[in-house]
Amino acid sequence: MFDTSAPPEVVLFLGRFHPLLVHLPIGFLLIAFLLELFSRLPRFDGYRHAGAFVLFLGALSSILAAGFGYFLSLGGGYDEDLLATHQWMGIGMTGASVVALFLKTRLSKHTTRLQERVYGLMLTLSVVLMMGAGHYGGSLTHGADYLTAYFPTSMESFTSGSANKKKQPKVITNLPEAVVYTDIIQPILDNRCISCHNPAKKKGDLRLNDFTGLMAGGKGGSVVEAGQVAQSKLYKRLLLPPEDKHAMPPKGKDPLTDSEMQLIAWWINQGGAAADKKVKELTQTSTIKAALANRTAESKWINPVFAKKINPASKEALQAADLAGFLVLPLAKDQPFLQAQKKVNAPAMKDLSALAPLAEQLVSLDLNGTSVSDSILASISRFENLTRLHLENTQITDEGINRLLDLSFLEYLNLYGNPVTDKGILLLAKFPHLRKVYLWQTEVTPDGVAALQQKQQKLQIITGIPLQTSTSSQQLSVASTK
Amino acid sequence: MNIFEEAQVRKAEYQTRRHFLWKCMTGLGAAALTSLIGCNWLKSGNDSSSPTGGLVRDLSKPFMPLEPHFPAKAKSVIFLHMAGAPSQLELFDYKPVLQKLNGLDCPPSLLEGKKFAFIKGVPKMLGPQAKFQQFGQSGAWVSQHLPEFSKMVDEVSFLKAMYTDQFNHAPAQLLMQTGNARLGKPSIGAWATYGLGSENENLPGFIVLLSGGKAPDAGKAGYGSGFLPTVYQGVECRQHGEPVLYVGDPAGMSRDLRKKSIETINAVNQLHYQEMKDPETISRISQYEMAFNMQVSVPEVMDINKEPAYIHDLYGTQPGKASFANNCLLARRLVEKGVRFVQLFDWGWDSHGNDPNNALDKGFGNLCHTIDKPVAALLQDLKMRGLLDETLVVWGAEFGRTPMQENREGKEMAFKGRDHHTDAFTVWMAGGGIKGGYTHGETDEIGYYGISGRTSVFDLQATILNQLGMDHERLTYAFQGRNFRLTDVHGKVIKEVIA
Repeated sequence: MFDTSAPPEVVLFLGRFHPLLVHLPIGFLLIAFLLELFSRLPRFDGYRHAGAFVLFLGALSSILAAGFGYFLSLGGGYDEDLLATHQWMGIGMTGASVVALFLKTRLSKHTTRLQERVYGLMLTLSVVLMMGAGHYGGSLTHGADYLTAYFPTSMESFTSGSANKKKQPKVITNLPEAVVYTDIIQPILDNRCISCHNPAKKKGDLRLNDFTGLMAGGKGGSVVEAGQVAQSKLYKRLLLPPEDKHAMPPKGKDPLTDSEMQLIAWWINQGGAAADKKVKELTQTSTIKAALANRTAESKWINPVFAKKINPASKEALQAADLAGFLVLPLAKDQPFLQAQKKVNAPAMKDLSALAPLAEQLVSLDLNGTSVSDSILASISRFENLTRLHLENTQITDEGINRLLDLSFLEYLNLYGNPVTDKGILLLAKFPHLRKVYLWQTEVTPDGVAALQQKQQKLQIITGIPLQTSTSSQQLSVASTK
Repeated sequence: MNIFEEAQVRKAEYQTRRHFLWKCMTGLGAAALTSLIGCNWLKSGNDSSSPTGGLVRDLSKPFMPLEPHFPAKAKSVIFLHMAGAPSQLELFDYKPVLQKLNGLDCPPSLLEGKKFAFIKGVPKMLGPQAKFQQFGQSGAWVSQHLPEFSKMVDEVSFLKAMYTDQFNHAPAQLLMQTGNARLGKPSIGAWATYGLGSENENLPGFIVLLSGGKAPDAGKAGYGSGFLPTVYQGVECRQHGEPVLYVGDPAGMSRDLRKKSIETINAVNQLHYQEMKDPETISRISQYEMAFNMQVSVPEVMDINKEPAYIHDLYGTQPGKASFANNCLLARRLVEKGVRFVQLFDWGWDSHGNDPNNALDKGFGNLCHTIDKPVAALLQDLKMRGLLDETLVVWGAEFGRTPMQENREGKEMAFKGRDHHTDAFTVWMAGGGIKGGYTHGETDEIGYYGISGRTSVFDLQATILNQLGMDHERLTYAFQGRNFRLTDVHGKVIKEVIA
């Protein structure tokens, strides 16, 4: 490639040593500053003499680092403003350290107060500038939001099993009305590309932080060809095997998932790479539908109870529950949330009092096949954080459902094999977060289910094999009374 | 120097100061080095200090439930392993292009550098030997052989581009079940029970049920405990007579006497343990205790006679007959009782074309018929009991089958069959936090290679553990100086299929 403006290769080669060299002045100047500080104390008076030598090393390495930094900047691809700030701070720091060195060597011979003051000022200034230059240098290589990207929030620790610290993609609440570019494509780019292709870093002269940047393309011209995914560099680079020099994201970074790739291809081909097309305006294949569904608010829903700050349960309370015949386990390691069930070999359960001290932590309770009854459920309302409740194969009636109403976080309720009726299950519409309810082998009729479904569209009502066919209903009632 | 003199010199060497120092140095050096590089040959088993975090297990309570690494989506797993490897091209992976190529010679580009179990020379392409149709809201393709299962496709996530690197049954089954094609590694059920324990103190945490008239080629190693304590191996339950051999009391022995004798044996074993400190002794004690509990619980849970008639209708079960259907019903009963991992093997799916019983144009349909209804029933039954939400069902085999017709020894076979194929096969998962009505991965036009969303056997294993709330990279066991895990150095959770 013949590009007359490009700097010679040796300059670029040396420039790459800048990130390595910058650490030397950081150490030297800081230690020179500390030596100077401590040597004011009579105990450390001897340090005074070391100061000049360390400062000399600091100034020398500053000059080298600044020079190599300039070489690196010739390679291009950095945000001009950020680069200028970093550059001038770096030069300022080098200058200050050289002046300080000059004064220090003079000082040892004949001192004036003014000289000493100026020396102290210069040394301090070089350290302050060094910190500034360091910060902006970091912003140049890692992106301006690098420091604060993982600012902790309470929900994040709970969202997913495997230690996936990637920012979650933007959640879509109304899918058909969502704008394909802003709500789907840009979030993918934000998540996967902009750490290198941002206004500050701009690798390959390409920035992907907004639509204009994407359309402007990079060094090699445009990266998106409307309607022609096979011609679009943005997509072609994604398809290359990880070993390829041009593969994106580069080796060592997580590749895009299949669904992310499918969505990008879909937007380029079907969406004509337009900025304002909505999801409903484009044709969707079944794979695209699935990929889209994955990005909706519904698929990202997490029970709000897990955002609560909960204190860990006390050892005594856990022991007491264990002795009373309950198997209590944390939902996961280092989580305060608990799940409980009756132990297989424990004698019949009398009430839930042994679990009462764990009420705050308990989010899942399995009373499947126990002697739990409507009267025992009178005390259930204190377990206000329950999200899953197994009451199958017990003797719960409509009255029992009524007693559950305070459990506002409930998302799974298993009532199969209980004599509950249409009247009782209508109450289920009052649970704001209920997702799944199991009603096989109950006295509920298809009409009752339909009435509930109408009230709560989102609720999944699982009734099992046909409820009210003439022959099987008899069998069912026989089975449920067993 | 004759031999006696040499012996004298050697003996003298052992008494010199120089020799003493030399030995000291190398010995201490070796000890220092091992501690420096973080390996200790004296240590094995629970390694709580390791950064990868093994877990601490009290072997006197080997099945005590432990909390998972992160909140689990599934409490139990039912793994339906079709030993012998059914043809994905006749069940799920619909390839109309392959029909057009039917009977043509296989192009050399597909054969170069390939190893097959039986194919020799140039085989002919073989079109799909079944009719396909789309089902459910998801429009998943399923062949005519699985009419009942096709009603359940919206509960299922298909992995259409699975691959493995073993083309013979035994090693491939071992790879699928233990993460290694060689013997000696713990199976996935053993890992799961080791990591999580089991909620029912009266039943083993890992139970194996066999059907199809033959054990899988991998043998008991396919559900063994490898280097984990033996208590975690899969307990095989039989369908004839006693479900577990000798679980009943001999004639004339009362339960009280049995109890006393087991208590005495355990007391003796306890003494032995105090003397020898062999953890296997503790393991043995707990096995005796569990065996005593199993005397009541196993016959009870394995007796399907008490199931109502409509359940037998649903599964197509016939009590007392060894069948895959019975095993499916048992799997549901076991999971309902809190068993952690139920492993089914159904043998007989090796459709080479040499045996009419499994030939694709002959008995394959009948074979499918024996699993179709039970599998659909299992999904349906788990679902209406609210168990599918917490139970991961996996259906699959050790590998797939070739788009080419098998030509053993270069000759034409009596029936239509396909050879073993490692580059593409189908596995499906359902329940336990897996998406319903989803297909991940795609194969090329003839189903020879996966072209997108390829997933390895290790990826599947990582995903199964992930649904159980365990990080496959953190579930480790220190053995022979290093931490081992199910997926060794491989495996990536298939996030696409997770709901």
